[in-house]
This record gives sequence, structure tokens and C-alpha cells, in this order.
Amino acid sequence: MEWVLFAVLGLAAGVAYGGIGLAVVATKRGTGVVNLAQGAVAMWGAYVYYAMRETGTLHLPIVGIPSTIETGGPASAPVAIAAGVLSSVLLSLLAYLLVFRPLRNAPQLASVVASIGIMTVIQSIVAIQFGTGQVTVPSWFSTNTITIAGQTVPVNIVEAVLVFAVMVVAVWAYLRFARQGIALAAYADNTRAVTLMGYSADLLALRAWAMSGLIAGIIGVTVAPLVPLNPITMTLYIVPALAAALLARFRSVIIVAVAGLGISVLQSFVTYLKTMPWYPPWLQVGAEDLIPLLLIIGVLIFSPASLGGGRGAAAAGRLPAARRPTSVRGPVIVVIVATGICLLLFNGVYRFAFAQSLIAALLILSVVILTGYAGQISLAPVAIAGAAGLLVARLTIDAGLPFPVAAVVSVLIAAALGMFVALPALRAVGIQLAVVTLALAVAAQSVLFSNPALNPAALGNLPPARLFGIDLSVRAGSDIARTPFILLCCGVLIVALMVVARVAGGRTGVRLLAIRSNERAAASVGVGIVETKALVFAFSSVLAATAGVLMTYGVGQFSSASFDVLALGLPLLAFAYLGGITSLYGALVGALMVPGGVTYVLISGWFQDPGSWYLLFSGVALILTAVLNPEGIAGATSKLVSGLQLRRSRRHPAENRVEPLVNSDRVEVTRV
Amino acid sequence: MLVVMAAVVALSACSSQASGSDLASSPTPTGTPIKIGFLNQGAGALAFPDFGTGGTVGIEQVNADGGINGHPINLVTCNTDGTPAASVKCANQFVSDEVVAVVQGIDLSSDTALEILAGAGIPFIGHTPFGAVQSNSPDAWFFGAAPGAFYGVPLQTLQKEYGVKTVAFLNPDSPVDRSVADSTLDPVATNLGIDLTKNFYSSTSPNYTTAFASAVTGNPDAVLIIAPEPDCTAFVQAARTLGYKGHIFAGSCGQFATADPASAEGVLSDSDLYSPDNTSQIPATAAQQIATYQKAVQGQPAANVDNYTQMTFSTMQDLAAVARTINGDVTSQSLKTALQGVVGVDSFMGQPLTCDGKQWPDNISICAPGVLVYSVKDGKLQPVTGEFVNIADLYKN
Repeated sequence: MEWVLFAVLGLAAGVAYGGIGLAVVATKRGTGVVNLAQGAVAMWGAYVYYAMRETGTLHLPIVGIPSTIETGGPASAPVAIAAGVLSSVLLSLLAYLLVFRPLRNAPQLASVVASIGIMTVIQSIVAIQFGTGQVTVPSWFSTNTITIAGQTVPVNIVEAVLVFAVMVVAVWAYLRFARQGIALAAYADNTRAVTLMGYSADLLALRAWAMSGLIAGIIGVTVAPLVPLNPITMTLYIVPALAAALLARFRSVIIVAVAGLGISVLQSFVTYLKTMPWYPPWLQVGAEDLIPLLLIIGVLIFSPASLGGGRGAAAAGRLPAARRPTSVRGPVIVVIVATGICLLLFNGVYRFAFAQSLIAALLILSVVILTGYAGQISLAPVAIAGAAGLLVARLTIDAGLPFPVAAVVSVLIAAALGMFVALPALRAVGIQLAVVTLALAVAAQSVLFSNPALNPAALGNLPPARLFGIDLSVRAGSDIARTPFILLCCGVLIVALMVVARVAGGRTGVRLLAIRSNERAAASVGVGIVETKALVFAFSSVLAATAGVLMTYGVGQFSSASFDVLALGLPLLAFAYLGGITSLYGALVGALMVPGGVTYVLISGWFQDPGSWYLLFSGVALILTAVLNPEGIAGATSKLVSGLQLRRSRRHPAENRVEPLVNSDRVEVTRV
Repeated sequence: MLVVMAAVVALSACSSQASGSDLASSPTPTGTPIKIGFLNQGAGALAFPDFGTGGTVGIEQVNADGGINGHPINLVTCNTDGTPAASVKCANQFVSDEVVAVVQGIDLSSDTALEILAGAGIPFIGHTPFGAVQSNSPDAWFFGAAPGAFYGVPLQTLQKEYGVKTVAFLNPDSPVDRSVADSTLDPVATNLGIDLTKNFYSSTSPNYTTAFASAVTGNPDAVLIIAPEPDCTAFVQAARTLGYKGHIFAGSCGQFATADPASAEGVLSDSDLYSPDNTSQIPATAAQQIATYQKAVQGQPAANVDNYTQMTFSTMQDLAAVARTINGDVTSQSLKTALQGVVGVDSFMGQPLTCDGKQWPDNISICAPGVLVYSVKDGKLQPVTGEFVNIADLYKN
């Protein structure tokens, strides 16, 4: 009967998965937005509850100015619960009013990126205000135990499930019976009909975001005493929560709740199975993270319609303008000049940071081609990069393959893996693809990269890379970023820029943009969706894999956590967007700003905890970019230059022929 | 030889001077600052701010005690998140900043940093090694016990003192953790005839009760937990919730005793330093040093002060004591020479140090072999074994 014990114990995290999934569904139904920051919103409520119970300090989600209010000693449980829940509601409403309302007509990518920005901001504020360590949260539940089927189980889990059940029924009843609730539920199905009936879209949206904040807040304070509270764990619950929401097609309140509980119980069963003598040792690590991914894949295979939707629709709102690069001269010159300046003027950590930025530019190029041009919101590049990094380490250390051979073989195998990721992309589009690839990246990180069966601790360092007798090692003695390694990274990036420019500037580029805009319309004019998607995923994977190989050589060994979806995957998409997701220059700008890159090292000396502050700044910059300037820094600069040129040519018509504002190399497909 | 003897005598003098120093009488160091790097896992899913506090407060104490022969220490702190990439970044920074030495709080990927630092001739110092390479490196020195002691002594104590035959081991999951557990637990378990099961849990999203329940499915006589402080507290509470009746050994942890005294009653723990909870039966110098430590950490957040804080604080005092023996400039090279000459000197709040590379089999970097075992009584750690337990012989061959 130990199954019963593990089923009950699994319910604690299940309440979090189901609850956060429910909050996701609330905003999706009310405003069409899938908020990846929903776990972070719940976490904020949990931290506010914790601080109120411990010291009576009310924390506000701001930094730099006084951000706490002393209430005169530890608060009672009801007061702390109210403070926690209301804080989440406030945060949710602020997110809507300041970020998602201005983005209501923007394409899904902008919302995804903005929600990553919000998640980043909340995480960094928590780290700055509460530290990154784990805190022990006082419980507001019973500390007793009861016996179920002969097993002693804690009452607090049963009580948490009861709170969750009451909340789920209340939300279901509101959407089913209350007049405003019915309108909210109907809004997702037929926006126009509901607004024609006299309902204010704005008011409905406000209700949806308030409801989602309320759900997240209740979940935050409910599970905080039962699960670890730190800036990461609850934020990461968004992955199984999204899987639950996806299984419920972002609609059914009851299904999302049951799916959330079910995923967690299945994970708990896996933990139990690990104690069995027959359980395979190679699957000891991270098997729990496979559950959400396998469920999503199962639904994709057996019930594709449930994840479809939207394929035939034109992308909503104005997509970021995509300039098809006709010449790669500019970006290549920038890279060469920057490398020259780095080698002449920089030393030590700045040189190393520059090398990191060169490698990051490759990774971002893979996002530019896949997401910027083809419109595939995928978080798989980080998994592909990790796979290539692990492969090159094993092939070099175990199989003894020399540098260029091991690197090329790793990149080719990883690219083939990348084509497999194209398979779900044939059935899932938009945010669904983002969810599938997010679950994939999380599973890859824990099942493959952190698995001692594949990545043993004793794997050790890679031998120095040599080519034609030249030592390409990143370091030697006190020289921590050697010139040959930087030149290698620079050379690889230049080749990548030339190939990307050729692909994006040719017929393939037109096909990618057509798919980005409307897949069905693209197919109707002869664009092969399957072939084009397979091609772009493979091409993007080659770029990501090359970056993964260089990252591994840059560290000197395979570092599994370097390919973490939170540490690299989401920031990658974010910095690509910040730089300009449809531009080669954008990739270069974004690469300068990634954590560990040049900008990070330049400003990291200013703060005691540079990581958290840098996260905060980048999160804010990301939100501002998503709301105000969807073409990113490179796009804004390009516009500015175009504007200046136009003004200049108007002033001197005899000297300069007036160029059309929309050049022939600029294809902008917004609606078909 | 004479130089070594002089260093030892001077170190002894400095060590006892620092132990009960009167802050008011120590002149403020005004010489050129000596740069020391401090590497600690202060961020990420498995963060250890407690180690960090010990490092920063420890150096404040050193500077308050007059620094190193009139030179203050300038601590260059670099936080990692346990990943090799972060360790590389920090090591690069230390090399660039030209630090004299790097002290480790805890960093599970610091073997990567060690390689870079050794290449630049910078000594790597800490209390406990957190990697296979550093525990057996000519470029590293550790003033605390070997990992084998922290993993093996609990097993021996559970068997000898409590008659335990089956043990479930609980540890955060990472390739490094698994590797250390394999290399340190297996030889002792085999030697003692203990039936051991190893259980690892996710450090990013741990479910403590489920992890504990799965560890005790075979109903073992005891559970050995080696984990960060919050995890120890959560596991001890999970054990009580699930009604587990066996022995619990929360290795190196101490905060669980004050966090939830009722649950912690009877739980065992260990440390290679004397516990501040009971100084009545320990050497007077150590008691005086503990008083200095307690005064130094006053005002720090309670969550950041525990056994691990004490370890890093002690390491900083030991490092300062060694550095004070150097005649002339404190450089990486002169510090290495001084470290190699440490023989039989009491560490701050701890046991005698001898950095001759022979204190633990295949662990030449270790300067101290033993640990003390404690049991929680009325929310305090009380000694089970009054003497440091040394099981180095179990690891021979």
C-alpha cells in the first residue's frame, strides 16, 4: 500500500502545478496571453506571506527605494495569508496594465518575451530582497498525521488539497454560472460576439488578470510551507503547470486541476519506482521531469487536434519587420573590428567575456533564423547546444577523436536531433510549440546533461584543441583567454553570419517569412511546410550545436548547468529579442548583453550581487522592448539611420535620389 | 628545516594571539592590502549563504586583529552557482585581479577553478574539499577533515554506538555528489559490513517528504543525510511526519536543532570543529576562540549562521595565522611555502593541523583527519564522542 503514501505525498506539488496551470488558463481565456511568469507571481505571494509571518515586514515588488513596510511584529496567519494573496493580485494587475494591455494586439512572441521579462524581474527582486537561499516557511496547516490505507500521511497535504479543491470548484462555478464569468469564458471563443453584447473587453481582461493573480496568490501561500521556497523552484513549476494547461487545451478548469495533480502523483510514483531493484540505473536522474514531456508528446501523437489551432490563422498584430540581408559585409566588419579592438585593448576577464559574446552570437543567430524568420517559438536550441557539448566531450575524452573531427561529428549528430524537434513543430504552433520545447529542454537538462550515466563527474577536462599544429586552448597559465581561441570563435561566427545571410536573403528566407505569417496560406502558394520546417530546425540546430561545442571548449569541460533552460534557454530568446530578433546586427547586440558577456562583465563590478541586479535590468529592458520597440535595439537603430538618411536626402534632392522607405530588400508580411 | 620550525612556532603564537584578541588593542592595519579571492556557491538552486557569511565576517575579524603583519586583507568575493562555467568565470576574475590566494567556501565545480588557479600559481585554500582533484592536489590546502571523514564517521558511529546494520543515505543529486558518495561511502560500508542504499533527490525542485519516504521504503535502521541546512531541517521534519522510528544522522548540519527542537531531539550530527553549543568540556583556547566567533557573527541573519559559517570563519583565521608567519611580502609563492610548513598547530576552534600530505589516504591536500560527533538534546548539540574520531585507516588500500 505504499503506492497510497506516494500518491498522497505527490499531491503537495500537484496543488502547485494545478493551481499555477489554472492561473495560466485564466489569462489565456480572458486575454489570450499565456503568462510564463505565473509561477513567479505565486512565488511572490509566498514570500510576502513568509515575511509577514516571520517578522511582520510587508515587502513591495520594487527595489532601489524603500521597499518594505514594518507592521510591528510577526503577523497572524490570516493577516499574512491576506497580504500574500493580495500581493499576487496586485502584481498580476500591474503586469496586465503596464505590459500585457499595451501588447493586446501584438503577436504571441511579444507576449512570450514580455512574460519572460516579468519572470526575470520578479526573480531578481526576490533575490535582492530575500537572498537566493532557501527559507523555511511557517505553516498555517495542522502538523498532525492521519492513517490512510495503513500509511501515515501528513494532514497538511490533505488540507492543502481541500483548499485547492474549493478554489477549483469556485472558479468553475464562477465561469459556469456567474454572468460576468460566463462572459469571460465566452470571450476566448468569440471575442466579437461578447463585445457586441456590451461587455467591455478591458473590464473582462482586468477580471481575468485579477482572477489569475488571486489563484496564484492562494496557491503560493498554500504550498509555501509544503514545498521549498527559493527564487527558482516555484518559478520552475510553470513547466508542469503549462503541461497541465496544454492537456486541458487551455480551457477546462477541471481538467487542468486534475492534470496538475496527476502529473505530480506520477512523478511521486517514479520516485518510488526508483527504489525498486529492477529500476534502470541510467534513468535514476531526472526521470520525474520526463513525465510532463511524455504526456505532451502522447497528446501530440494520439490527439493532434487538441494542440492544433491557429495554424490557419494569420499571426496576430504586427510582426517585427524582417529585413532580408542582401549583404553581410556590415556585420562581418563589425565582428572583425570588435575582435581587433578586444585583442589590442582588452585583457583577462574582458577578453574571456568577449569570447563568450562571440559564442553567444552564434546561439542567438540560431534563434534569429528559427524564431525571427520562421516564427517558431522554440526553446530547443539550448538543448541542442547542450547535446553537442556533451557529445564533443565524450567523443574527445572517451573515443579519443581529435578536435575538428569530434566537433564536426557532434554538430552533425546534434543537427539530426534538431530535426526531430521539428516533428512536434509540425503539429504544435505558437505558444504550444514553446511549451513543448520548454518541457523538452527541461527534460534534456536533467535526464541527459546531469545524468552521471552520460556525464560522469570523472569525465574531466578536454585535451587542448589543436588544428594544423596550432594550440586553440582557451587558456594557458595566467593567460585566461588566448588569442587563438578568440580568433577561432571569431572565424566561426563570420562563417555563420555569411551562411545565415545567404539563407535568409534567398528564396528560403521568403519561404520562412511566409510560414511565420500564415502556414496555411504559405502552403497554398506552394511552400512545403514539412520540408521548410525540417530545414530551418536543422539549420538552426547546426548553429546552436556549434555554439555548444565552443562553449564546452571555452569552459574546458562539459558543464551541464551551462545549458539550463532558466540560465540560458529563456535568456537566449529574451536577449535575441532585445537585440532585434530579425536582424544579424540584433544577434550581435544581444550577444553583447548575455550574462557572462561583455556588458555583464563591464557593469558587474558596480554591484555586490551583480547577477540579480543584471537580471533585473535585463528583465526591465526586455519588457520595455516588447512593449515599445518590438524590433529590438538593432531595429530601432536601423530605423533611426533610415530616418536620418531620408531627412538628409530631402534636404539635398540634387545630391541624393530619394530612396523608398520600404526597400526592395525588406519584406514585411503581417496579414495575408 | 629551520625555516619550517620558525614558521610553526610563529604560527602557534599567532594562532593563540588571534584566539582571544582584544579588538581595541589591535592596531588598524594600514599597509598595502593583500588581495585574497573568495569563491562560494552563493547563488543558484543549491546556494550556501552560510559559507559566505563565515568568509566575509572571518576576514573582518582578521583585519580587526591587525590584518597580516599590518597589511589588511582585501577580500575579492566571487559567487558561483555550482556550475563549472561559473567557477571558470570566477577563477578568471581572480587571476585577472592577481589575488595572492583563493579561499573556497563551497563550490561543487571548483575543481575547474583549481586548474586555472594552479596554472597561474595561486594557492587554493579551504576547510573541506568539494572535488576529487582538489583533495589530492599539490596546489590545494584544506584545514578541515577529508570528505571521507564526513561520510565515513557517521556510518561507523551508527554501527558502533547504535548497532545499526542498514543505512539509507540521502544526498542532493548531481554527478559530483554521486561521485563523492560512491568513493567515500562504499569503502566504509563494505569495511563495516553495513547494508547501504544511496538515495538522491533533485536540488532544484525537491519534494522532501517524498524523497524521505522513498529512502525509508526498505525500513532501514538509520538514515544518513548530507545536505544543506534547510534540507536537513526539512528531512528531519519529514521523518517525524512519516513516523520514522530509526536513527537519523544529519551530517554537518546544526541549524535543524534550533529550527525545530522537538523534531530534532536525538538526531545525530558531526563537525570537525568544536560546537558553540557546549564549550564546557573543550580546550580553553578553543572555547575562547568560539567566544570570538560568536561575537563576530552577532547581528548576521540567523539563517546564515550555522556549522558551515563556523568552518569558513575558522579557515580565514587559520589562513591569516599561516600568513602572519611569513617574513617579508605575502605572495602566492611565500604563502605556499608557509602552508607546506604547517605541522601540529591547532586550527581555530578545531583540531591540530599538519599539512604534510599524509593525513588522509590519497588526499594530500588534507591537513586534519578527525570529526566530532554530536547528538541533539534540548535543542543543543551535545558531544557523543569527546575526541576527534579518525577513520583514515578504513580508507587505506
